[in-house]
Amino acid sequence: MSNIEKIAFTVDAGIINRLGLELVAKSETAVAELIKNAYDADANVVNLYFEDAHLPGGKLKIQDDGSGMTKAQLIDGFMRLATSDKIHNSVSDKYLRPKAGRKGIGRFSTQRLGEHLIINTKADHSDALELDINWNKYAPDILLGSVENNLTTKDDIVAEIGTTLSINTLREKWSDADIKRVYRYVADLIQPSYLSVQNNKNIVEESKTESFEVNFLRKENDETNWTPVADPGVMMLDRALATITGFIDPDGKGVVNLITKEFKVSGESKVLEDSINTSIRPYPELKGASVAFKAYYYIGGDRNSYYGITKSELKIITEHLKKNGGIKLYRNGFRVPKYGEMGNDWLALETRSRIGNGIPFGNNHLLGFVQLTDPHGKIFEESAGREGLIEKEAFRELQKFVATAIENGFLNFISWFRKTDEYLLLNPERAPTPTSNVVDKSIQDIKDATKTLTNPEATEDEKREAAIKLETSTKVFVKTTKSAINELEMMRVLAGVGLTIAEFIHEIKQIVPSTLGYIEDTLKHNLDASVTGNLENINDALGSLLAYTSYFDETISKNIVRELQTINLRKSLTVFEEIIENDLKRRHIELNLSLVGKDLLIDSMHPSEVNTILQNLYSNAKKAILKTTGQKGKILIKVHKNIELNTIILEVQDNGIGISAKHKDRIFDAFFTTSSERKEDFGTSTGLGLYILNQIIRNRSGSINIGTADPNYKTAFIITLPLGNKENLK
Amino acid sequence: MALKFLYIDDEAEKTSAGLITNLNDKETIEFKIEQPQTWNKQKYSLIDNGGLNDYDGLLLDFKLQFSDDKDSEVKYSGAELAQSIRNGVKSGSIRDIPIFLCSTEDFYISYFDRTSKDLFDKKYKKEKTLNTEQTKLELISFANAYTAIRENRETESIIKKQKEQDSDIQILDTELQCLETPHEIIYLLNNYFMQHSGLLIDEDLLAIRLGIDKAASKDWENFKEKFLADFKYVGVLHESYPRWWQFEINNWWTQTFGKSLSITSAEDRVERLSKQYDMHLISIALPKHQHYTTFWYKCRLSNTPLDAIDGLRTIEMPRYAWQDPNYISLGYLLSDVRETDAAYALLGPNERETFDELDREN
Repeated sequence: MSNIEKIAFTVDAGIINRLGLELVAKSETAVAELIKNAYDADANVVNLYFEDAHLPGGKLKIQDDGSGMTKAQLIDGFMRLATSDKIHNSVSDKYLRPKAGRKGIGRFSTQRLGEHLIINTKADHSDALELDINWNKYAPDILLGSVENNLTTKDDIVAEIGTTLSINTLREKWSDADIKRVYRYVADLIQPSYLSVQNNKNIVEESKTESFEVNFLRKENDETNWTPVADPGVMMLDRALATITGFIDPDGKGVVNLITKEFKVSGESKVLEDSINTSIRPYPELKGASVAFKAYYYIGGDRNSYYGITKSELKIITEHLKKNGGIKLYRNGFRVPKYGEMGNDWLALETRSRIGNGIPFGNNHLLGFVQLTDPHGKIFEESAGREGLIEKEAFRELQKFVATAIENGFLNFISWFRKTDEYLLLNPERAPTPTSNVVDKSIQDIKDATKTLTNPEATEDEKREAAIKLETSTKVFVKTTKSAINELEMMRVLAGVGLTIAEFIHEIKQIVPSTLGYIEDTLKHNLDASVTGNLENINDALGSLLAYTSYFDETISKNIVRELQTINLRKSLTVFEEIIENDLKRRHIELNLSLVGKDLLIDSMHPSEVNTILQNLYSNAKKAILKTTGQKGKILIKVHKNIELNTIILEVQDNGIGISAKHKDRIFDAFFTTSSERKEDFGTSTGLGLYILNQIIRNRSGSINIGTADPNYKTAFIITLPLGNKENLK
Repeated sequence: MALKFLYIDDEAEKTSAGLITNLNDKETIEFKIEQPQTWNKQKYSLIDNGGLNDYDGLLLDFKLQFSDDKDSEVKYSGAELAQSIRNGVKSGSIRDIPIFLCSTEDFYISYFDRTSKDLFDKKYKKEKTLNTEQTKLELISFANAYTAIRENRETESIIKKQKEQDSDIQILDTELQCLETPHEIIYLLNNYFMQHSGLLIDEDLLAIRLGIDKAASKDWENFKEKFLADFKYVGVLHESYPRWWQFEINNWWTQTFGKSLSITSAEDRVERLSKQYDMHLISIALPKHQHYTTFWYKCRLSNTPLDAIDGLRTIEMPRYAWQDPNYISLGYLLSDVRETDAAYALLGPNERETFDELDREN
């Protein structure tokens, strides 16, 4: 006969050791798990107090203001190994935070850290409880269930809701560096601050209500006060020169704002606050997603390019940026690894590092994060190993939005920044434009100075002055020469490009007319109306292309003539009008010319410069018109003379979207752009078009400004140039 | 029977064919398209071997350069080939035919110095003027002209007028007698006889000298076809360029109305014509800044009508005695749209001063 007994599993108490010491290898991980638990408990603040921890045996108290635990939660949760609680509730109760501490071994982290644990916890509508655990009691060879711990209900005291873990007899010592390491491990893990959009307005602010703050404090020996262990990361945020924030509104459009540090402009303290328009292109895949970001920009680098801090601070900042620079990505409150880490360039910012033309840009100059809230994984899906996000279309749009926003914010910042006193002080006016005037003047100065120095009758004072003059003018001369050489090298490159263009144009001029010939011939046959229609459209399109080549004819053939000439602006405009005729028709834009007066001549210019001016302003007008809807685009070109001032005035007006008042001052600055396109054709949105125009015109002793437009027009560019004299035409 | 033309271009044949779709209709002109051969081969095939005799006309690309598979590089200009051809004609190897140049770059076309200018009968821009009806007319016209002259060198046969009819024709005849090849003759006729008013006038001048505003006059075409047909030029090249004999018009006018045409006012001219021929014609209005309606010339820069007194003569020296002088009208000079640099370029020092003075006064 067989006997049936009932046998259950028993557990050796030594399992505690294994799960604690052996599973949680690093002390930082242990601390991090405990902080995660506080996070999961909807805490807003977690304070960690390290007392006498410079040697082993110290104390660590982790105090949070989370939801605390009820007796039932203590017994059925904390005191039950491998609980299913976390599987049932994957988000926290109050803030719906997806639970971070999924491993369920937080309790063993305490065992890993110290020999003795006291939990004080109070939940709402529940008594305060104290649980006392001595981990040493969990020795091998006794049963787990046989070890008992004291649970005290403290119904007599009034306690704050939350949990405090007092870990005594710490197994390791905790130096400042150790604590900082934990800090960074955790701070990195948990989003630094919470971004919320207020009223769909253009401001992103940090909200404290759902935030999660972690503080590390230490006290040694008999000190009375706790010292916070600071993290350079937090400290740094105040040192940023510019902060760029943005979010996606309910329609899927990007809203971006820029605010800078305070700088002096012509002696006056100013702060730039700007909104950057990215609303041309909505991001359809991001519609409905909760996306926000904040980026801090630092120039970093050497002493001369930074402002208002000490050398040691600068060093800390640069070091920190090297390791931690970049824009991180937080999803549902937790950082998604790899994005924004050292070596990762998920926003492709490094490819744009040169856009500042001397002012650096890139991951090592940015701190910040993108905040995605997507609790059901609808828009962004985390990859299987939780190593990143599956990079679907929505992700790509996210990349584009954030990258464009940061880039444009940066460009707008530096275009303003270059005018500040601080910048100008440390970056004195660049080498004078290499013109022959500058060279002549330098040579003259050098001659004069040498004359004085070699004159036996010159006084000491005169000689000293002369010596200084000699030094400065020599410096200017050298700078000018170097500048000229640089420009020459650039010109050689451009000339190479120019030759390629000439080749290209030559080809077009053979192939396009030939194609047109075949089309014309085909049209002679009796064809279906739809076929004829298509052929005629092809004809028109090719005709436009051909028309553009005549613009190059002018430029290229005239570039071979290097001298400056008196330009007949009326003639230039007549030719220009012909060239753009097809383009105007295609875009349904009406062009009106109002040319008043005889001999509308520009004194001393290169013919290609005139074409550049006209093409550029026409291009801007077209873009402005494209941004409007519901009305026929109109462009007005006016020319008249001012005999008294001896100037000729060219106006290009359009009825496009106009230029906002706050941008009017900056529109000619280098790199300023109101466009949101990114990898666009060179020159259209680099923000350099009007800047270059300004340079060209000023170089010819002229000026370009925004003026008042005629009725029915929105924007007017007014160019004034010296009036040409017909005598020079002889 | 279709005329045969040879077209040599270093572009791919398909591309070249596309450039002449309106010219190559196989009924009036038939084109053969070829790639250039090496200099020696080309010269031999066209000239020494008389290959060109198969053709009535030649169209050349300006730049002929390419490399064929056999490692030989072809690099010479259409001008060099044309020069050789003209030389070949002189030496009797081949007959003379019209040579036309086509290219894409203005720069190259205008690059010619005087010595190579006269090698070609006409130049065309591939992207603009080559593939047009007018060009086709010209190609045919020139080819026929060369044929006609090859057959009969007599001036009277060429221009279809008797020498005795006008003294200028005698001068023309004297000049033509000095020339050797058909090309030389046609070059003179085209550039100094047809394109430059004097013995012949174009339609603009025809209307101007009759005082008629042809744009405004609905009956102009009618009148022209019906009553001026007798005075039309029907010699070589007339198919491409409609022209009329000035002396014929002068004679007719004097015979019909008794007065001299040139000293009659435009209103008077038109009144007489309208009455005489029962036509509705409008006279030319007096342009601003001008004083005389006895219009005779057209402005060198704007083509508007003027009497010589109302204009400034240009410094261009007519090469032959029958050529009219050129004038720039005051109306144009004092208008807003004048191209002052073009005007200065055409005026001598005295005329420039006059221009400047007039400018100050106005």
